[in-house]
Amino acid sequence: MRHYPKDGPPRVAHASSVTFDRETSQLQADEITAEMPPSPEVGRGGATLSAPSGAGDVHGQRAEAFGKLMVRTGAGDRGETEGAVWDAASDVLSGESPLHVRGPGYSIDGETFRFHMGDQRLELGGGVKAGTRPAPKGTR
Amino acid sequence: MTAALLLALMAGAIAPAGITGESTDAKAPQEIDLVSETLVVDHRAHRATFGGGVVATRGDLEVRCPTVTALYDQRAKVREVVCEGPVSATQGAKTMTSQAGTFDNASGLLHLEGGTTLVEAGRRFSGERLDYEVSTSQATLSRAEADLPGSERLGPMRPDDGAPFRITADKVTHDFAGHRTTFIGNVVATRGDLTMRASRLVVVGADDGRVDRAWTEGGPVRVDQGERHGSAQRGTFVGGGQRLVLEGDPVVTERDSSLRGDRVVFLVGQGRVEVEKPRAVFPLDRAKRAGE
Repeated sequence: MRHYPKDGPPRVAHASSVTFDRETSQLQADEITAEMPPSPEVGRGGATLSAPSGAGDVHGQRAEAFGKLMVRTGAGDRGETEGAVWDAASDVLSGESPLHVRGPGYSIDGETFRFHMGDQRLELGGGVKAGTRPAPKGTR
Repeated sequence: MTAALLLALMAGAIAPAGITGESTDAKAPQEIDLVSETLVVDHRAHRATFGGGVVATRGDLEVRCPTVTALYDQRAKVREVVCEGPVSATQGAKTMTSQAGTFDNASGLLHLEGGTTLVEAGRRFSGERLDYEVSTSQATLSRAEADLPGSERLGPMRPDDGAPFRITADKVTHDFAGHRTTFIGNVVATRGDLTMRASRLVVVGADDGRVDRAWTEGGPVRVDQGERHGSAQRGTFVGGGQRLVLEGDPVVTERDSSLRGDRVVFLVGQGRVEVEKPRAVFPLDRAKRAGE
């Protein structure tokens, strides 16, 4: 599956299997991986993500990912959580499971998250732990 | 799948929230841990706000405040960390408080502002602003006041027994490692019945926080003890602050009389003064009236 944003290179997603229901316009996929090249919208050297499965409608009103979601960026960030829901009406991606992010020189853990796409605002709740670990010499 | 794609976008937002740094030399930022109830990363404003009560730990320094806001630049380097609301910081036996504060992790400088206090081993400082260098354990306060414990007794059964030194100055620097405090500008030191004024005063304390010795620098010193007044080029507190020794053309006056000597020693809390090799000056008209 290819997605062509207004700005930047196309984003490509792969899945081991995809099921499409014409009547409901529902799309379901398993073993999803997606490549997002660097762009004004996707910083940190681009991102690669994976999810065991996901479902949504082709009109993009709502989508949900199931199982362990993992994100890696070109800058060395690693993010992990269990399941996430995107709601088009509110333009919010949210999850009720713990979120763990590790990167060069830092770590952040939260119990829940809400990411407001429009204004690029992330909210972590339920208790947050953040730490810095100075990056080794010569790394960023 | 869309959700997964959005999660990737989110990674770009969360990463700059870290307070990052590179280990390039010995002064490199140390590890910081923050624990809070919430974290909001506003990627467009380049701002991360920890809320709901924050505990930030760097080595043995622990800072607590309701909200911490980190401002970072385009390269995800944190430029400034601001603590809002009442701030409390502890490092070992030291406790610092203020209304607000900032912390520069690169330089290791904790800057506190608004009703600042610093307490350690019986010493208590307060001032408008407090800069504390974490690595060197040096504190600088402006428009400051200090309460420093002196020796336990100023004299037998004196009401001033155990009275602390109360010292005000434009600026105070305190070196915790060396127990050395320097008061600079408009220094007024009071203990018991004695008040001393100087442009600069250096105080060295003992391990238990009590004043061991102190001396003035950089100009004349003036002393008031009731109706008795003294002046000299320099003054030195000895005996745990029980005696103030004036040297350098010392003069002690009381009403119309004055007394000069090699040294003038004020006995703090005892209302007494001792003059070594005294040379007295009395008004002739009064001596004459006394003779008639």
